[in-house]
Amino acid sequence: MARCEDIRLLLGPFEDGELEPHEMQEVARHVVGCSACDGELADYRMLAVSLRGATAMPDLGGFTEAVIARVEDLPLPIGLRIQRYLTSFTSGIGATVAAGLATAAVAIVTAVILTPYFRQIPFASQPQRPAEIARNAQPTTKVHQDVASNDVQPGLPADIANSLSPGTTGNGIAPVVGLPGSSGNSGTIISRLEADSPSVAVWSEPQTDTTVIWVPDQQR
Amino acid sequence: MSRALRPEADETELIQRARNGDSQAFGALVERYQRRVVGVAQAVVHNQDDAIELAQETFIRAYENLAKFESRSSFSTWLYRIAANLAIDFRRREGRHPVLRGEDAEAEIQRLPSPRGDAFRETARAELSGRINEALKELTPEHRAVILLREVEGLSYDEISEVLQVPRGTVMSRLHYARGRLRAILKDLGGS
Repeated sequence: MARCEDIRLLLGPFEDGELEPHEMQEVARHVVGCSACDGELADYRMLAVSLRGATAMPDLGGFTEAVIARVEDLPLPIGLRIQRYLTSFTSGIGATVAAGLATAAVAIVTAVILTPYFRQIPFASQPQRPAEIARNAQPTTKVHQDVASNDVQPGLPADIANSLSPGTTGNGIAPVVGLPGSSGNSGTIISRLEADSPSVAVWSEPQTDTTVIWVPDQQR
Repeated sequence: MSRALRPEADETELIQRARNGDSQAFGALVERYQRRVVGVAQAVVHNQDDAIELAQETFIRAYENLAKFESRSSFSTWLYRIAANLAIDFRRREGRHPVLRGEDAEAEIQRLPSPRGDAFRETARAELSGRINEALKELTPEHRAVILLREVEGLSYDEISEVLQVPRGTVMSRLHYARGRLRAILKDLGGS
């Protein structure tokens, strides 16, 4: 059996439930058989009750309101002030600015779509007929060096084709466009080609800045 | 505009809202802990008026430092530690011996709330309170604070250790001494 001197040190924590389980059991076993320690434990219990009864809690009516009043008088922390300013900006002025920006964006997009500039955007271009391609390409077409040396004149389709395609290959592709200083002439030639031979195809190759006129092989 | 508070509103939510400047949420926290904060302060300074002032100051400090509160300890323990620190500083600054003396002690006893009952019970209660307060006067502030925090406020040893910032073993030894001393004093008072 444990000595009373050892157990007395544990009586308070025992009463408070702050001992390890094995210590709780040890104290409990001792107290059952020791009237002195049991009496001391009873005194501790009485003391606790007396202390709780004697310690008056003051009237706290209005305490919370007084604290809140002081809290509301405090300047807000700088971080919170910035946060609140940004919040009000976003929900007030910010919303107006955002609406204005959205309207401006819609207006710009509409204006771009309705102007000819939009057609220059590759993805926005509609499939064009060969003649349209040729016409659009005219202002930027360059004269192929081989062709430029030829004095191309309007004539019969076959003549024109021959004159335009000195390097015509077997597949009929003639790298020819326009005439120097007279883009109107090249348009005329293409129109005539298309009119006289529906199988003539014209397209542009932006990589080489060239308009290609495809003329089927002539039947000799 | 703050949202309406549920009576059982989650403490974490209240703290977060108070951090965002919601004074109503902070008010709910004050309501929840005011009694024990006053009790902790009172355990150290042993004066009701001072304890109330210190408790108010505790909540103001807590509000100002909410951003620094980390959930390593519970919010209540954090509050009690602020209260205990303020009370200890107050005691040192004022140079007061935080026990009631003479007329002050009598006044304190007279301010105790009077439970409804007959004259005999009223007298017995006042007499017991007087004896307890007499006994408490005999303790050092450190011993008195520990035993009041334990017996009146019901803090655990670990909480007392954290609030007063002393080792748990010190809490146990102070409690053991305070209990033994009070027991002896009360027996002497009862015998005289």
